[in-house]
Amino acid sequence: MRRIVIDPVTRIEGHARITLQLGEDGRVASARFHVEQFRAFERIAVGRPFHEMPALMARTCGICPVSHLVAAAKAGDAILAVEVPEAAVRLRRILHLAQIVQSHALSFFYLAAPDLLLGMDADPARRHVLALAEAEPELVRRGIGLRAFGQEVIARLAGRRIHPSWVVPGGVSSPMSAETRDFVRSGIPAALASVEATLDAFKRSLSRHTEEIQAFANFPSLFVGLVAEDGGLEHYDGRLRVVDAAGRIAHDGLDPTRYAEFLAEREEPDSYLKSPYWKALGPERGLYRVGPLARLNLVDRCGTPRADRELAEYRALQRGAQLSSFYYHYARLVEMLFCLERMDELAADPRSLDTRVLAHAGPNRLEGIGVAEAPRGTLIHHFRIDANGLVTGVNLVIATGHNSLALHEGVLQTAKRFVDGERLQEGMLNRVEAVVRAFDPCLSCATHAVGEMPLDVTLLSPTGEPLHRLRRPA
Amino acid sequence: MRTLALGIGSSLRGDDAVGPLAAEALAAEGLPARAVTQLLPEHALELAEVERVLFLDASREAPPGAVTLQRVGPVEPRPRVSHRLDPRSLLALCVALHGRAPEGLVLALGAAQLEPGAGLSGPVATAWEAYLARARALLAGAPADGDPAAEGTAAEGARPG
Repeated sequence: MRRIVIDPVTRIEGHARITLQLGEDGRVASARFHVEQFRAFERIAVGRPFHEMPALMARTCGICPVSHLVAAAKAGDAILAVEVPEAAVRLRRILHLAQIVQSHALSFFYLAAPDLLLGMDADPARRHVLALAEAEPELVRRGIGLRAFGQEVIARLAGRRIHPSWVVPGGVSSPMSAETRDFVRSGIPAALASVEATLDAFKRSLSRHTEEIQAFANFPSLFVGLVAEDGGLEHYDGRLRVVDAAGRIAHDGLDPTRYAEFLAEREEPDSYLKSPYWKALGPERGLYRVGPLARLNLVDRCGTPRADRELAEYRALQRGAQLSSFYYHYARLVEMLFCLERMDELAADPRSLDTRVLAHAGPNRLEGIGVAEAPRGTLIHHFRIDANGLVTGVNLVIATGHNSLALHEGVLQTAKRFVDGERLQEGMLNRVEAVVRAFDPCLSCATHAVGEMPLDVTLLSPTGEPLHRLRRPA
Repeated sequence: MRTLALGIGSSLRGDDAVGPLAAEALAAEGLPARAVTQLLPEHALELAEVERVLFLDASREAPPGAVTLQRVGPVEPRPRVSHRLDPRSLLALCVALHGRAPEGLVLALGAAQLEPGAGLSGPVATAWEAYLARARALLAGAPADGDPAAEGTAAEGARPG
């Protein structure tokens, strides 16, 4: 048996390493996905006033700070025990949807598209967004435009693109101006056209990726996430729904603030990434997936016309739940359509301009839980405070963490399918990285790691000696 | 000449704040400048609109407090890139997307301390006004060639190959 190490994994957020153990036949026998960095946001927050939590928690991540901001503010709402004004909820939603657009654009266009459009076996030195811009400039222009639009909406609403602090317990700190409303609405048509053109190109490319579709974390599992009251796609609120691999609803209407009754977390000996599992099924059988793939498996409908048309086409690919994690990319594009359509609906409603956007109160509870659907999946912020409003305990359950067990299984499945230890080629290992990218893991969030996520893959001999290492700088 | 200054760095890491602080100071004077934590593909959209881009940054190579000017051109990076770019690769992206890139200049100020939580060092504070004055002149279109600080570094800038 031999071992391959991919270190670092590239084009993902954070730092990770993959170890592949080979059997005597040269094929992969086992695989591990290690996350080696540590930040301990749960500890940093202890002792701070609870009303600082949204701004502090937004610092967890530079890609999805708004999700942390929203989840932490919702936990703060629960501590205040107030009803957040309707206009504030609308503005929080617009902000959060804008962030999902920019985050999905980054994942698809900057990180994944070089593999999808230049090829998994393309020269690794030229398999990046810059080379893609030379080959497909219009596509990259669209991606840059979508990300810039999402970022600019965040900046105009919340004051800054990254780490805003505009969402606070009780609402938001200022109303939306008519000028910002007009900016949001005026950018939607071009953004929708960009996503639809990209969807067309992506769907045409699917026939080139049949092997990856079959082998990229394509296995039965549960899918978990928030769903709107009417069964529609939901990113801000809603109740937890669980579907099985056949697409049947296993649980519905679960109160997400009671997450501890449904979910348990397993610590891994070789990774700072915790592995949640569905408690009733135990750590071996309780693997589930969250994020765009899961959300499209969970909902009855998206709830907006263009996204629903695309969802119908997407669902025609397979009966039951869509099981291949390759389709995370597809689901991201459908979700971007939904986010843009819903942003426009919300901005067009005059109630979104209401100036009553903040409920004032002191702490009325000693515990609060806030849950939202971040770009990568369900995000849970749980705070406990003392009588003075100072934080005494924090638990963060992060989207990438939910997918931890699926990432391990997916890396193993992909490595078994593509990696030949006797005739090792870079493209084989790139596919192992690419399955990780399909999940769009954000390890800065999930381990509370510093910086980008490069990949490190190590190949081990039957006796455990490192035989090959693929390591790239961040 | 249409120009733009991008001040790169973290305001939380000592002299690394040189770029963003300078950009904010210049913007307060009504000059086309803004602070960024890192260079991103989105910035290629802005570069397409200008004829000169001035990257304001701290330098670990230059002596503390020394002002250096380096001409940079569009060069595709050797290592893989994700969403964070350096000035050369950002200019290369600009060429790929728009068929041209503006003249690129890196105006740097030698850093003495880059630790989190540190303020600006003494050498940087002493050189601050001279640094801003150079940035103002370059934003106004002053030629970079012939500038003593640019000598020996102006030959870079091949097109991506």
